[in-house]
Amino acid sequence: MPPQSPEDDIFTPDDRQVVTFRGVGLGYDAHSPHLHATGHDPENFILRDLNFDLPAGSFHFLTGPSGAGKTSLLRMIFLAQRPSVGEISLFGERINYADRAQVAQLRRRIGIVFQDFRLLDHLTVFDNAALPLFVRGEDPKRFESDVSELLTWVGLKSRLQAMPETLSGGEKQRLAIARAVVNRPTLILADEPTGNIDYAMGLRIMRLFIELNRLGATVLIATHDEGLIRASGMPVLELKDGRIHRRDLTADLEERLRGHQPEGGHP
Amino acid sequence: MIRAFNMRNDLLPKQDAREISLHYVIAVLCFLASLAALVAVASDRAASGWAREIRAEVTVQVRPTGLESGSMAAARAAEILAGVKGVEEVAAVEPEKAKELIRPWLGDAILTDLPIPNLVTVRLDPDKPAKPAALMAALSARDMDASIDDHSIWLKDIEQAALIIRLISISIFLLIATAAAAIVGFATRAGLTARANIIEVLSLCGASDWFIARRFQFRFAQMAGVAGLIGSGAAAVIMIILKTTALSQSFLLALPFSWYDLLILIPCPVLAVVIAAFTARTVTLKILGAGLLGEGV
Repeated sequence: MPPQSPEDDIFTPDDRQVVTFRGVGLGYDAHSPHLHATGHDPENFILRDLNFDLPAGSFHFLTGPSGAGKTSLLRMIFLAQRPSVGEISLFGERINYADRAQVAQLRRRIGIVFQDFRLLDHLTVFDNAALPLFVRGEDPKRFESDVSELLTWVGLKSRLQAMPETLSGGEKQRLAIARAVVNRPTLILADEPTGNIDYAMGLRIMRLFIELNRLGATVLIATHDEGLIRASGMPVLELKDGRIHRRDLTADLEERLRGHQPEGGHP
Repeated sequence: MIRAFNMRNDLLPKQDAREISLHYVIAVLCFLASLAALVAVASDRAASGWAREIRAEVTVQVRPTGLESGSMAAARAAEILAGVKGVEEVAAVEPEKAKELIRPWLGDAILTDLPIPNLVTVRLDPDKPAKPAALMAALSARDMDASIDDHSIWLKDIEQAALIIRLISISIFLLIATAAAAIVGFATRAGLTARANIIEVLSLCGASDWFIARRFQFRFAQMAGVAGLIGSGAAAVIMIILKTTALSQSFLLALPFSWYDLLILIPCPVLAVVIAAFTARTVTLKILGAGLLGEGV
């Protein structure tokens, strides 16, 4: 199926939805290890016919087995990957054909927590956390106290001038989260944000995401942590066989009421 | 207390060995460009000096008429020419002096039989020199048979030689400038590839291509400025040594450097900064725009 062009498209974005996927698929070229937007065999799709919305102010978990395509889906949302087919809208704007300047502007409204942190090793903890604000051209004098306060909140108060290589895995994770939320983004995307931290800190980080969600941010968290998902009670999008399914929360709730112990040993 | 925020410099890592090599190459190029500029200025000055000397002197050959001897005719011509406006000094060349001048080329054997021309050397006012036509008119008015050599053949050769030296120097300068641009372009490409992970993070934080390009532009401009100062400084040292040591006096006769020539070295580092900044920015924007660093960037 060839990619759609603006002319033959009847999709109209809804600005009440922060993210909208319509018939989105992502394939790869059999002759190349990389994902490609064009020139692929439909059998080589890793994601197929994705249709879902993330309304403004919503909170969702994205789950699914390893290799299901959670990271690829997130990459399409933060415009690091173009879909092979279908249409994506972000903040009410169609983004399939967004130019580089538009991409930069859209990304300023998104906070991303990467599984591999992606910290800049030559910058201090403080500078790493403040990076999105600096990129936006804000005055360092104005955001200095806010950044310090946020880093204190995630437990890095004593490490403001430390270099990332001296941090533990958990500290790096917390720093990555601080960087993602420092500019109060409209949309927060997190790929396994609690994967490297202990349960108590995981809950604390989740509280931060929930608090930001209460303040109006739309949150999508990709995770394997079933305990965290069940503890939060938030809606779940599940990726299975390249397609997205909304998990039946009632069944989950009933399971919780029956006193089921969540996976991973969390209370 | 948090240290002063200075991400303008810090967003890209501190220089590595590759950039030290680049410093060296840019410094050498600036050194060569500075020398080319100095040689251009000095050769221009030398050519102008020689041309001025030649323009300020004409030689008049007088042919005696009637019973007048050659020496008498030369003396009379000298007297006439001394009264022409724009003439500073006139001297009739004695026959013996003329023979002295010819002897090294022709030898004594034929010199006794050779008719020696009767010459008058005329030094003109360098500011308002008399025209050859005016000199000729003054001599004709007094029935003198004479011809004037204003050395225009030599003048043309000198001016042509000076023009060629100037063109060669400018060509060398331009070649060096383009070589510097090519090197900075290559280094920018290498820098972008080596720091693709940093650029990806900046890009995912919402940095525009211009924002990223400014980082590289600033980095390479700073580097070119330092290297340019070192290169031009080295050229200045060479010139000072040439100007102040006795050994190089003969060299200074051919290329008369002036202390003011040091001023021409000032634009060299500035030009290096401009070339590096422009090239780094252009290459960065081109690479980012073409998506050569991967889809995420």
